[in-house]
Amino acid sequence: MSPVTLSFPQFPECSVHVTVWCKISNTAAIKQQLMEGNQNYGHFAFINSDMVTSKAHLYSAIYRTLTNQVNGTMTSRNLNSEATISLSMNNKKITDNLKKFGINEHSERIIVLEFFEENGVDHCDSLKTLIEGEEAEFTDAFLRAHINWGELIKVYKLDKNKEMYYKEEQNREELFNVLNGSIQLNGF
Amino acid sequence: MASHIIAQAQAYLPNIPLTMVSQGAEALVFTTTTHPCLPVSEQTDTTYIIKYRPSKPYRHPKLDAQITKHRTISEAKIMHKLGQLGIRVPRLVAVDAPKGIIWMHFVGKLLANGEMSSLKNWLWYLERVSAPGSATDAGTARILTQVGREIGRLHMHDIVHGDLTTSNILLEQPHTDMNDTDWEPVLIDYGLGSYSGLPEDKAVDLYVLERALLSTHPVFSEKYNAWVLEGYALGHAEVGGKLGGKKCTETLRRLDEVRMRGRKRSLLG
Ligand SMILES: Nc1ncnc2c1ncn2[C@@H]1O[C@H](COP(=O)(O)OP(=O)(O)OP(=O)(O)O)[C@@H](O)[C@H]1O
Repeated sequence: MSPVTLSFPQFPECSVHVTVWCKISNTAAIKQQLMEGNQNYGHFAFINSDMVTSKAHLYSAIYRTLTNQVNGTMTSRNLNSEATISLSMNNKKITDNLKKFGINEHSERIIVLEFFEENGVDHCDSLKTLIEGEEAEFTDAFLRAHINWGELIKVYKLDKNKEMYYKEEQNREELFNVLNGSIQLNGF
Repeated sequence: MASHIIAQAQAYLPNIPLTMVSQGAEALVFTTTTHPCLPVSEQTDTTYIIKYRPSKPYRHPKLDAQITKHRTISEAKIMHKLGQLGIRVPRLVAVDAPKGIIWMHFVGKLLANGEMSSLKNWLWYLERVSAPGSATDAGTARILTQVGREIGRLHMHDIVHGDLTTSNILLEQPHTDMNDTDWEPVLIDYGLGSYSGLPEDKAVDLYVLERALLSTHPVFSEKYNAWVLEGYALGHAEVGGKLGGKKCTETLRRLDEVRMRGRKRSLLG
């Protein structure tokens, strides 16, 4: 499967590759390499897919990332960590949010992003050697099927009593509205 | 309009087609069909609103940037909060606070005469264009009651609007099966919105709307206003039960005082 390449209206000079992986058996090792600053891993943002409820949810965080870059208001070192913590409600708690939204020892499913400039090189081919797992299709159905509701409710401070409500298919948009608002207002 | 302000907005929003719909003291409002967060490959032809607060040349640049950012965030936060509380508002799409930009969903549609479906335009339309009597029929009563109900619900959450004019109330038809005369009101423009539990602040909201109805719809304003206040009580009861009723009474009592002050002022003025 080849990566999905995205470009966003206001940022034509930057593209983002997205791949999704499941049944991963070496998350602990990936995490270790990231911590040690291994360059081969540093090209990518490794995101815990169980915390992403839809494609639009991810896009909202990518928009904030690119906007923060243009405005000079990034709170982390590079686009990869910025994209990961942009999923949160509070981008000042960097370590905490990298733990929640980034890869962790238990992740079996991840979303991998790579930001690259127009005509720049990308490293997506190398992912096959870095990740022991299966590639999956980047779809709403995949994301929706594996949400970690308990964590989601905690980190977005959702009303616990509305868990059943948010899980219902017809309230998807409402869930997105709440998450999106939190992401757009993150840091303010 | 100084074209350099529009040019600045366009420079801040590369590749976003902008159509200006309003130019207020505080902000420019545009429509666009581009969603800021969706990739180019997933765009649809939905219309969105962009509200842009330009910088003010007479303010110190540093202070100016702070004020712009602060007001943008404040408005966006209130909208987000209200949306979560289940009050009808245009839902947030994106915020670029340092640039003074809020993206939101477009609310309402065009009336048969080509005007936007604001409460103001719609009442005008009923009074002048539509069938005689429709300005005071049951359908109109329902909509104005709904307006009051939304205000009541807003106030029960201790949020005041700050600029409740008839153009800041838009009418929408959220369900496809609604017929042409049936609308739901949506309060917009939270630029002056704030948190307040004071009956005084709430009464001023009601008074501003009352004055707006009187100045733009003098013939039926008394009737309109009575419906609004009826709905206002309903909104309170719905959110707050008995306590709601008490709060409503407090605010309405205060409204009498605010009216009196207003009358004195106009006698003096
Ligand atoms: N979400 C929306 N959907 C449709 N139209 C909108 C929306 N938001 C704003 N508008 C249109 O733009 C106009 C101005 O918007 P708004 O009141 O928020 O800006 P403002 O600069 O505070 O205006 P003013 O200073 O005139 O009060 C509204 O009267 C309405 O016609």
